[in-house]
Amino acid sequence: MSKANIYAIENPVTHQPGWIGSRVQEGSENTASPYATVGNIAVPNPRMSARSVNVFYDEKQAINNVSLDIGLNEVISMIGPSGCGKSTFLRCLNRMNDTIDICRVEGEITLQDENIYSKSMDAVLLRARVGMVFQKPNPFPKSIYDNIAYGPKIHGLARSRSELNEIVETSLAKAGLWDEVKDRLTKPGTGLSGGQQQRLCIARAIAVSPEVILMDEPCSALDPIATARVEELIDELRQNYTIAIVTHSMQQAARVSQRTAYFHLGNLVEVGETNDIFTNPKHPLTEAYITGRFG
Amino acid sequence: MNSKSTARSNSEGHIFHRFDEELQSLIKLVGEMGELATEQVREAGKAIKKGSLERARSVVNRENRIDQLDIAIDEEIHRVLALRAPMAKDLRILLTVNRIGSFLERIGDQANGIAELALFLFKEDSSDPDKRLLSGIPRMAKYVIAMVEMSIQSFKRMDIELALEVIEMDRDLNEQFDTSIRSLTTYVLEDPRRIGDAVQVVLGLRSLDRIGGHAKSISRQVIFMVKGVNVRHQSVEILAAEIRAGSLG
Amino acid sequence: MTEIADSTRIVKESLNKRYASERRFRRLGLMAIFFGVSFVLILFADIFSKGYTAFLQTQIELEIFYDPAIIDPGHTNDPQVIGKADFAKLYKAALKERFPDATSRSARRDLYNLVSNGVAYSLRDTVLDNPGLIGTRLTLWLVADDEIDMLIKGHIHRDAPESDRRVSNQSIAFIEQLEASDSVRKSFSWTFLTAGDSREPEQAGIGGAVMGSLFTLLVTLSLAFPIGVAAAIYLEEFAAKNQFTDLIEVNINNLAAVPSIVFGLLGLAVFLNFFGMPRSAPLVGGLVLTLMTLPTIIIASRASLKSVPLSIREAALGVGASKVQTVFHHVLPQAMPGMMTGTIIGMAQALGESAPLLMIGMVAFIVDIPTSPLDPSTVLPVQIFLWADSPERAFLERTSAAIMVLLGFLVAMNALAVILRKRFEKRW
Repeated sequence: MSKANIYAIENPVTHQPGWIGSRVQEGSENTASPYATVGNIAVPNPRMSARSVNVFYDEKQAINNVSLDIGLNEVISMIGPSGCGKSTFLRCLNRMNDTIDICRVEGEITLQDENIYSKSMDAVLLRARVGMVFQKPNPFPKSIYDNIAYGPKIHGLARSRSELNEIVETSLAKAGLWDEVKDRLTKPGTGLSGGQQQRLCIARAIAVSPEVILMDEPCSALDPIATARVEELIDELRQNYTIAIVTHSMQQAARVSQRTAYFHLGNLVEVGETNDIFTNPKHPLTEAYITGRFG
Repeated sequence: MNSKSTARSNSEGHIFHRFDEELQSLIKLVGEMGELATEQVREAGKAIKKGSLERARSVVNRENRIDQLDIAIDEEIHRVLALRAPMAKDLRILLTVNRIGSFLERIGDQANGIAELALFLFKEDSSDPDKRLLSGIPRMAKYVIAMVEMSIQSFKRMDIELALEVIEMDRDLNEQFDTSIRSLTTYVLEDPRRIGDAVQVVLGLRSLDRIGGHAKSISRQVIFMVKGVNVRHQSVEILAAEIRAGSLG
Repeated sequence: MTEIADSTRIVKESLNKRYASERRFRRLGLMAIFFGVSFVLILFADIFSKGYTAFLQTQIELEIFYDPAIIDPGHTNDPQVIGKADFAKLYKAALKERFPDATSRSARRDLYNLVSNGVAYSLRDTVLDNPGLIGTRLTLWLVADDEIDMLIKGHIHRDAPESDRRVSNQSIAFIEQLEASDSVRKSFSWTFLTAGDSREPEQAGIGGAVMGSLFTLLVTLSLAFPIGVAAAIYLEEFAAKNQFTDLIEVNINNLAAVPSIVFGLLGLAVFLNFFGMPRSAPLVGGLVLTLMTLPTIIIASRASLKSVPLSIREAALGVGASKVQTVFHHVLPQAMPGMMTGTIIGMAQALGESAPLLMIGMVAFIVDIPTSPLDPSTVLPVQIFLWADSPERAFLERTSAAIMVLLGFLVAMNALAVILRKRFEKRW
């Protein structure tokens, strides 16, 4: 028995899995089969849908048979310890992993019933439909205006200057940044504060009208106030966009998402309503992670 | 320095070692409070059984110790919730501790009521009441004490089967209560002069019934804590079936 | 608590030792810098003290009579005829007029040697430009002979025994007479900067070498920069990472370490012998130097591409930019300053290179200033090498002066690198 019980003195026999005071360890008998995901992976109206996805870096398997639906206009958060594959999975959803030579993806991921890994799906087009916001705010070293206008420009979304201006304004407005930057659109985007930069990056993603927005730990470089504003923004964006967010902050997952998926060592251990995951997770690994008894 | 080296050697438990200690201290407090409440009920029962004013007074005097424990538990929970933001089972443990605290406080109140009943019945300037009139109270008290003790045990061990037993015991307790009332009724019909004492005794029986009810609530709370399913208003039969089939939660 | 007190004491005791070693290291560093700087200063001082006089040229004032009898006896006004006239007779006549006493053969020879024989050509050129001068008298400052120049500049001592110096007593007497009448002066020598090479030091200039260097660098730059940057971008951004690209990378790194003369041999074998390109031409020199600087540029460009943060690429890819758009819209502008710095450092290296150019014949004695990359020419470092080899005393100072010009070029190029960096490097 690799687990201890703080009540062992009182009664060493009647403890159950996920016991307070017991830390779940790798390979303990509590670990369920790595291939079975607890909870319902499917939703009635999926926007994106992954089935039996395996990801390899050379010979090393980073994602192990993950199936998961991302529902229309929902925020789904992916949590788990470092190296659990949540970011890798997120990056499969817009084929960002294509840029890594040694990365190989198996299985099927569909966007509106189109397989995004099929030959007919172009990665550039896919990334226009599935936008991405990164961990560190990474505005282009250009003006605020150019940051937003870049995407629409290369995709030819605006036919005239005035149309482009409109896209820039609405994108910034949707990101809640318009009032803050409307007087300095020609100033460099990198001159904004960290939180503003991240909202600028969100506005940049919105500008190409994506169907899904992926966020890879979008607040990990921000202070709590800026984090709160970004979280508020994510909640507002849910009306029009489907959002998948990877986060290290369980509180953030609890605050912004409707569904939560817990990843562990490349496996999708549990997925379910955020309410359930954070009050009463079913899988002992999830419980251990959420209550801070993991390591 | 000593605690540091322990923390290092002990790879189990919460990543914040302090958090486990806080939970442990809370659980210890609940255990202490449970013992105290049980003791109060037991002493109050004995005071009635033996007609001891001294015991009754000591119960009344100890009442504020339960209240102090209740406040201590409340404050600790408040602090832990604010500082640790617990999740899942940790959160349920804290919520349960919070509720158990208030149930035990109420059990203490009821014990206090029984002790005051003893003080009323065995007033120095009046004759002692008939033993037959009081016989229901020690019998029920014994049963209720067992329920309270078991419910606290079920909490400490997180043993839902023990908790289920307590919930099922509550039905027997209700039957005992009914039996006691019936025998009291018979007694009062025989001797209507004792009707005043009889009313007091009914109140005492009622208090014991309530204590049993609190023990049952504690047990249901324990089931919530372990399983994360709220069974506060579920029928005992269904609950028992689910727990025994292992399909709860 | 006692443990803490103990460790504080132990730390305190070790402090002096640690500070002492820090002070020792600082002194060592200062000394190293002092040595470095003083060597550079000594080198510069030596070169400047020897070389600055080359920018001055001794001149002698004479009244020249553009004698029609000598220039154009037949009054033809035909440039062909004028061009064939013996203009040396003009200044010889003027000298004879000035020093009527010098009648002996040796005195005459010394007298005529006061003035550079190049003066004849410059007189001819002025007359050809302006035939109206024929028949007039003009007082002109004529370039003195290099030996006289050395004498005036003090490199030849007048009190040394006659046999030990290259200027005769007779010549010194003439000069002293001229000096007495203020007819000798030192003026800034445009010839040195503009003229091509010459056997006569007073007529030799670095103009040809500068132009040769410029053409060579132009060829090098226009080939090495685009090829190097393109290769770097392809290798860094597009090529698959496999054993083949690893091999290429290793080879590029090795090429950067290959001795430059090997590139010269390669140029000789390939460009001259195989492709039959013109010998001594800046075009071939530029090609050879391109080969030599390419590895430097590729390595510097790759390093500067690598230093562009991944987040910028991800940002561009994330909004749906294609690979090429990502590279050219975002990565390249960020990497440009680094690439330019690398290129200019490579160019500076090429500017100072002489060994490979010797192999392809750019060491030839070329008097004409090249006007295109196909004209035979030499380059600055080779010119320095040639002059340093010449026996005339006057070439010594010209060698130093040429080094000064070369250094000037290098400083200018490095300054350009800094300016370009500042301008293109957008620190947002």
